[in-house]
Amino acid sequence: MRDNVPETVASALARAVIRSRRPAFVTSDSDGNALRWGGSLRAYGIGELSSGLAVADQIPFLTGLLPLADTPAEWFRMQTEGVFADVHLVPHGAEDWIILLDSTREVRGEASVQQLRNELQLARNGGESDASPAPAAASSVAELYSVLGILALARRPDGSFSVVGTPPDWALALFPLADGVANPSEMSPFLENFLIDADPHWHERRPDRLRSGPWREDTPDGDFIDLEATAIALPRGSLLLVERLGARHRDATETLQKAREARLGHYELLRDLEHKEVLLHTIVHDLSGPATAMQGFLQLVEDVELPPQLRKLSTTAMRQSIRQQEMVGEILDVFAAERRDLSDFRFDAGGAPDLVGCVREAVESMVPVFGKRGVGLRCDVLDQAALRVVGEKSRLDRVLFNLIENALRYSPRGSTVSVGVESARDWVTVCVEDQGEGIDPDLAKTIFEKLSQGRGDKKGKAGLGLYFCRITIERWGGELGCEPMSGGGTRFWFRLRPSDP
Amino acid sequence: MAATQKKICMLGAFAVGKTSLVQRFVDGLFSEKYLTTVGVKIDRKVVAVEARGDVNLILWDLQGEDDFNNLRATYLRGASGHLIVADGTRGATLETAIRLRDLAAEMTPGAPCLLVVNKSDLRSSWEIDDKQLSALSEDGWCWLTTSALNAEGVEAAFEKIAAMVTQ
Repeated sequence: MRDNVPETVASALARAVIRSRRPAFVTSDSDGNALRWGGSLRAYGIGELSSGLAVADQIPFLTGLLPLADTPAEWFRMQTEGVFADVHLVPHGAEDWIILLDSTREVRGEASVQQLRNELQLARNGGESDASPAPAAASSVAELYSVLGILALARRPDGSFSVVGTPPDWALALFPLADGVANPSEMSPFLENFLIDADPHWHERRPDRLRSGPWREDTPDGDFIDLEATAIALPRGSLLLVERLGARHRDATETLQKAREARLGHYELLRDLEHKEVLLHTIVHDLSGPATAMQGFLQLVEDVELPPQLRKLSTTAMRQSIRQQEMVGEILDVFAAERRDLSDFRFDAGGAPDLVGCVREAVESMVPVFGKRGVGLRCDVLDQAALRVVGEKSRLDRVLFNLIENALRYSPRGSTVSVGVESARDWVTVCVEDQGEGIDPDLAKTIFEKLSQGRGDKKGKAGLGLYFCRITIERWGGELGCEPMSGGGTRFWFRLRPSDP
Repeated sequence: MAATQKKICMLGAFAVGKTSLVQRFVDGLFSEKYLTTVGVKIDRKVVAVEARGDVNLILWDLQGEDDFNNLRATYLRGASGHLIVADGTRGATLETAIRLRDLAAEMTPGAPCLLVVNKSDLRSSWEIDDKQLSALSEDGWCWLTTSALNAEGVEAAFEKIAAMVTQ
């Protein structure tokens, strides 16, 4: 006996090992065929063997390993028939020896040690300053998880999971957690999917926490529960935490619910407006028809010789009829613009309008009206190059018409309205300046609001023209305003972004 | 013989009726109240597919798409097929459906997609018209219409996707 151990002691040790580790053996020849066998083979699920037949055919886990040839002795650990076995492969002369030793107790011991390590590490992670924290600290952390209602699972080296501490009641009701062992893949398809992301997170020991995002599980009592999993890689362990989401999650859900309901309501409103617009168009069409007919008759009356009193009445009737049509048009414009204002504006750079061209056209179209009223109209952009801006041409034309027509309304006979365009790096600005009395600064603050009426006795038609300008320009990301000028008169302006800054 | 398991993802814009369709199919219930889904809800139901036997559908009801929430692409992993839901009364949800199909094709190549245009009980208010659906057919889409409210087409939709994923 080596090392001076008495033979009786060595024998006692050998008996103890044989008792606890249930050795078994098989030998094979140089072709891998079975020669002899013995020991507790049945403990490893190995039944009757036949001499002369390939060992690998009779013991599947040895497939591809025999014969050992010149390979040095080696061993591996495997699980079979519910036991862990250390399988030693030892070449000895003409025979290969396969020796099996039960290592179940050792494996379980390692798992317990790993569990303890995990818990100790959790204790450190939880802010313990003691370099060698007592097991009581780890136990406290485990209890803390329970109190917080968190299911904590420590990942074992073999990929299985053990429950840390006492699982919360909700977890016990939902998942099979018998004997402190858990299999997340079987607990929920959601967790099974999450583990695919968590595995590399743990393997690479990433410092951040990996969250699964929330998911909902039905409870046995017909209710549901919202959960979220988190994977945490510790220096010597990996944790999977499953948390029941509480008040904060409910608040977030409620906020999201309200936001989505508001969005649905907004959408419904748009649809409702659209329906109303169709209805309004129909009504207006019906209203403007007789007005047009009336204007036609009044036009005929104009060609007839009438006493001055009747002439005056027919002229007034014509003016009122025209005004009615203008108001109807204005209402329709604003209605349509409001609806579009609520919708998303999609700018098409290819269709960006040329602001200079639009100003030029607007001025040219209004020269006759100005002439009739004895007001001059000066345009400072006649030779200016094109300036493309964010907007839509048809509505931009309408804005320009409204502003120039508004200036005309407040211009005394013999005065001049000037229209100009200035270009800077971020903005292109249009100014319409009249030589009237000048707007009151207080009125300037409200004149672009809906149904706001203008100055003095020269109020607008429906109080919608400038409101239309505002919602249109603002929808394009622009700005507009007005102010009295120092030398008298009012300046209305708006500015838009260049389409190609 | 155990039923084959197939993961099916319910995709679509918010409030198109994904949860209602699952609830109608699995529990035979419908609620008028809109309750937003946060995250994922998983349900199961076995359907019989002709010549293929029973198929256990694992239905992943995913939270709707909008500015507040984007779909986590990892949820689609391992899916055998996708049921992409649009709301016939909201035309924009079809655009979302088309975008989600592209994402599904990227994440799960070869997994079939079935477009379900829901809320057929409100057909008179639909913004999605036959012309658009015909164009989708020409583009290779497989689609049908459903109403979670009156159950019209719901069974057919899930049976269809079950058949598609077992082909």
